[in-house]
Order: sequence, then C-alpha cells, then structure tokens
Amino acid sequence: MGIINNLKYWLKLDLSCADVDRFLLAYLEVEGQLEDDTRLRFERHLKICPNCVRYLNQYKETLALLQTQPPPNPPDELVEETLAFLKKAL
Amino acid sequence: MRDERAMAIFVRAESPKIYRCIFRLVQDEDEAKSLVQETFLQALTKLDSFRGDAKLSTWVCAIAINLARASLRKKKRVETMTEADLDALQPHYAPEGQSLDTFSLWSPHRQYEQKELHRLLKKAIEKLPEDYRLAIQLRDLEELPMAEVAAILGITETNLRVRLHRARNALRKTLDGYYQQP
Repeated sequence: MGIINNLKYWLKLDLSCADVDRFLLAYLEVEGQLEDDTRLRFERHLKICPNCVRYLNQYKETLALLQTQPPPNPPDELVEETLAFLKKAL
Repeated sequence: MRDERAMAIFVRAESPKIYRCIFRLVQDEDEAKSLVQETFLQALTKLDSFRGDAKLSTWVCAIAINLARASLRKKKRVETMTEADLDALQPHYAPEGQSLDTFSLWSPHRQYEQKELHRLLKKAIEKLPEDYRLAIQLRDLEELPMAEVAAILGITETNLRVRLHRARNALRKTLDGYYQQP
C-alpha cells in the first residue's frame, strides 16, 4: 500500500478494494477486531463495489467449508493405550 | 502430575484434540497414536519447566506440534507451495488500491458437491507450506482461539493473521477453480 493510500485512509476517506482486503480478516472475526469507524467505512465500500462483495462471499464460503471439514476421529483405544504407556514409562 | 487419577483425567480430556492436531500433520493413524503417547510423556516429565504463562493444554499442544513436525522432517513429504506460489494466489491491486481481479459469484453448491469440495480443500491444505498449514489447521479446523494458536506456534497474533489470510486466499483460489469449471 502506497503513501497516498495510507494518507487517504488516515484522512478517513473512502476505503479502497485493497483496504477491504487488508481489513477483511478483522472484519470477519467474532472478537470484533475492527474499530467501529473502520467497520462503517468497510461496509460503505461494499455498498458500492459488487466485486468486493463477491470476494467477501468467496472468502466466507471458503471459511465455512473449512469449518465443516470432517475431523479425524481418534481411535477408540487411544486413551487407554496412552495411559498404559505412561504407567509403564513413568 | 504423578497423581495417577489427575493424569488420567488430563489425558482423557486432552488426547482427542492432541490426536487431531498431530494426525492432521502426519496423516498416519499409528504414527499419530505413538506421537500422542510421546507428547504426554514429554509433558509429564518436563512439567517442572511449565511456566504457567499459557494454559497447560496450549503448552502440551505445542509439544505435540513440535514432535509432529520433527516426525515429518524425517519423512518424504508431498511437495508444498513456495511463497511465490502463494503470492500468485493472492488478490492483486493497482497502486491506487483498485482490485485487478474480477471475482465471480459462486453458485450455491448442492449437497453431493460438499464431499467433493471437502476433498479438494483437504488436498489444497496439504500443499500449503507447513507454517501456513498449521495456522489453518489450528485456527480454522480445530477452531482454537487466535491467542492460543499464536502461543502454540510461537508467533505474534499479527503474524498469525497474515499467515491465515494468505493461506485462506490460496484455498479460496483453489475452490474458485472448481466453481469456474463448465
């Protein structure tokens, strides 16, 4: 990001597509990483930029698919075998 | 933790998560089981060195990840992407900040496609460089809090966010290829 873009950001001008990308992860975090003012400007950009909306949707869909990825199931004997191993080893 | 009852409670509580973290890295059930045992052995014998500045489970998970990484280094692994490969999969912007990519609308996938998308994603995760793969596995698959993942990997939360964002974009781009198929 160039000096002009940083300046535009600090002068609280509208966000660019690159700014949206920069703040995307924070925007999606549940912990609310983004300041209210930046969130508003982020959402204002989305209202005028369908390309960024599609990018955001692709990103969210990727996350949703990651979070529904089936987890590996630990084998039934894992705990008992581990405990037996530890009893012997310690 | 020489108290056997306390040890059993701890092992029962933590071993599924430890197993999943290790298995996702080594992709081998026997190896993962053996590394779980080694993890708890190391944790219990080194318990005096646990400083208490992270949760005990975070500390044990970090031991597990280190052991799994050491095990991986001994094996021939799938060839992974380079930083340059990852760069190519990121969105691109003009100096003024406008997007140089045109993103398409992904049509909602049908139920039967979910399995295929998961398979595709699993393969793409395996291709990520190890540091990026771990970030995705711990944060997005295991859904551990940011602070805990950063502590396990020994990096700052800012670094973790950069890794996650680059890795997610690489995976997004892979999925985009699927959606663009005629």
